[in-house]
Amino acid sequence: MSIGQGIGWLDALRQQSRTGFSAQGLPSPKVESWKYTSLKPLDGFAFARPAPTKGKTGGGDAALAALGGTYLVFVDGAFDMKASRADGAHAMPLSMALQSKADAVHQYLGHIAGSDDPLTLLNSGIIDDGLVLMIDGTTIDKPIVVEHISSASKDGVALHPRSLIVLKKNARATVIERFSGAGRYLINPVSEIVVEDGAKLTHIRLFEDDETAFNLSHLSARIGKDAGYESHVLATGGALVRNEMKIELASSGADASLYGAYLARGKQHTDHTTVLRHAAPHTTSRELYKGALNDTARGVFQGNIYVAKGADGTDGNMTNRTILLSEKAEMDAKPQLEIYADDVKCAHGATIGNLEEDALFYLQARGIPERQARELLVEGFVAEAFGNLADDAIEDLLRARIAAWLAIAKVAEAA
Amino acid sequence: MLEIKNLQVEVDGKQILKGLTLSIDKGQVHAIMGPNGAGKSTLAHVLAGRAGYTVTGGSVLFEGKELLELKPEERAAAGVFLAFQYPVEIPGVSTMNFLKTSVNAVRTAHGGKEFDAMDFLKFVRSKTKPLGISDDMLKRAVNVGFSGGEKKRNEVLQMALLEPKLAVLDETDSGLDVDALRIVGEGVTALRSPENAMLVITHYQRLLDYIVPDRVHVLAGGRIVRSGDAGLALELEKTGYAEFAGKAA
Repeated sequence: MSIGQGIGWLDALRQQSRTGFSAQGLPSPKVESWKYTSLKPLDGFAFARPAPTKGKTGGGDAALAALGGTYLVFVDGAFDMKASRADGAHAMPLSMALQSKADAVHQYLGHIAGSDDPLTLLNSGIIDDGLVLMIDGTTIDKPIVVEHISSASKDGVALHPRSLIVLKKNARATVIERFSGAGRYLINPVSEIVVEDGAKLTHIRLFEDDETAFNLSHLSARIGKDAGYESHVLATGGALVRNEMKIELASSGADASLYGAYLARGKQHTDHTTVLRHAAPHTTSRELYKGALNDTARGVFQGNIYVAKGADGTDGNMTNRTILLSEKAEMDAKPQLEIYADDVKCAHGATIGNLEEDALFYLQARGIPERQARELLVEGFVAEAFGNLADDAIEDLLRARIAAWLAIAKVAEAA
Repeated sequence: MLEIKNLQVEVDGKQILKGLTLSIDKGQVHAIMGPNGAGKSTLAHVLAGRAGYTVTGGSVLFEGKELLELKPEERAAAGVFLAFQYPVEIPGVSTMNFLKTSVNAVRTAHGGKEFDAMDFLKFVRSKTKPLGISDDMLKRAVNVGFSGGEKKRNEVLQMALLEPKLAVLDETDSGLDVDALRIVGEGVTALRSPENAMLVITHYQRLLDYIVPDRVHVLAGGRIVRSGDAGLALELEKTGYAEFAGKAA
C-alpha cells in the first residue's frame, strides 16, 4: 500500500515516472556522470517492497534524538509514530501532509527534482514516506531530526523515501537527516528543497547505512534572492553511497555552501556528485569536500559549477581534498567549471595525497603515539569540512562520529 | 644528562655530521652556533627522532640510555623536547585539543592519570599568561594562520606544559621581531632550572642576550670546531663565521 493512493495528481506522477524509468533503466557507465560509479553490483537485486513493519519501532540514534525538537523516524519507508516526537506543526511525514496540506505539496512535489534522472523517476514511481517541512517566515531554533532506518525485513528491499522542504520568505531552520539500517538493502531517497527569498536552511545529512547496503541519494534545491542553503554531509556507511546534489541559485544574492566529509574503508565506494548552477547575477557558492580512504575503498568527487548566461558577478569556489591511507585506495576527482557569463570569479582545486609526514612527526615529537597521531591528523583533516558549522553541539556530534570511524578503521596499520 | 659521542649522520647519502661530540650536564644551557649548512638543524632533528636521517656511527646517551633507539614519542615521554624552527600547521585540530592530547600522552606514558578538561584548562591558563597567549589562540587550529611570533610562543607554551628534562631549541629566534624575541627569550629563561638542561641552536647571538648560555660551541663542517663560554657568542657576533669556513669542507 503506497501513501496517498487515490490522489489524482500523485497517481499520475507515479504512473508517468514508472513508464519513464522503464524506458531508461538504471544509469549505465556510458552515462558521463556515472563513469566512476558502477551500479553493476545491483545486477540481480530484487528491488523488493518491504514487509509490513507493524509494531516495530525505534533503532534511532540517541545522540541525535537528544538534540531536542522535532524527531521523525521512518522505518522501511513508513512513518514510525511511536518512535517520533513532534515539536510544532511545521514538520510532518509526507503521508500526513498529503491529507492536511495536499495543495501545498502538489505545488512543489515533482517540480524541483525534474524528471530526467532515472533514479529520481524510480523514486517518483513509488514514493515512500519522508519528511515534509514547510515554514512561513519564522525561525525554528531546535534542529529537526529525521531518521531513515531500514530494518532488513527481507533481502533485496528497495526504499524510496521522498522529502520536501519549503522555507518561505525569511524562514530559518536546521534539518538533520540520518540514513542507517541493517542488511543488504537499497535506499533511493529524493529530496526537493525550496529556500525562498531571505530564508536560510542548514541541512546536515549522515550517511551511515549498513556496509552491504546501497544509498543512491538525490537532492535538488532552488535558492531564492538573498537566501542561503548550507549543506554538511558526513558519509561513513554503505557498500555504495552516491550523494548527488543539484543546487540552483535562482535569484541574485543566493548563496550555497556545500561541505562534505567522506570516510571509507574495506571495499566501500563513496561518490559525491554536485552541480551548482548559478542562474542569476551576483550569486555565490562555496564547496569543500574532504575525505580519507583506507584499504581498497574508492572515492569519487564530481563537482560542477555552472554559470549560466547573464549570471554576471558570480563568485564560486570549489575544493576537494582526499587522503589515501592505503596504497590500494583510489580516488577520482573531477572538478569542473562551465562558464557562460562575464565578470565571473570562479576557482576550483583538487588534491589527492597521503598524511603529511611533517605533521605526523610534530605530533609524535610531542609525545603522541603514532597511531593516535594518525587518527588525530585524519580527524582534523576531514573535520575541517565542518569548521563553518555555527552549532558547536552538532559539530561535536559529527567529530565524535569521525573518531568512532577511526577507532575501527585501523588507520595506523595502513600505508 | 646528554652524552653525544662521535655522532655521524647522513642525509640522502651525504654526510652531514662527521663525528660530533658534546656533553651537557643537568642545569646547564649550551648554545650551538655556526654557519648555514653546518649541520645544526640535522643535530636537532636527529635528537628528536625525525625520519630521513641515517646514523652511520657514534651514540647519543640520554640519562645513560641510548636515545637513538627510541621512537619520537618515546623520546618526548623520556623528557626530550624539540622546539621547531618551523612549527607545523595542522588544520582541523584545535590548539587546545592538541596540547591536551600531548600532555596526557606524556603523563600516561609515565603511568600517571590524564587531566580532565577542567583541570587541564586551569593548568594551561597558568602557563599562557606570561607568554601573552589568548584563549582565542587556543581555539584556533594548531599554528594555522599564526604569525611567526605566535608560532614560537606556542612552542614555548608546549615546552612549559611538558616540562622536559632536555629542551632543544632549533633556531627559535628565526622570524621574530624584537618584541617577540623578548617574550620568547624570557619565556624560555623562566623554564630554566637546576633540574633540566637546554641546547640552544642559533645562527645569531641575539637570543643569547635572554638565554645566557653556560657553554657556546661552534659547529662547522659537521663537527664542533671551537667551544667557549658566553663570551664566544659575542665574539662571533663581531667576527662572523668566516674563520671557520675553511673547516666546513
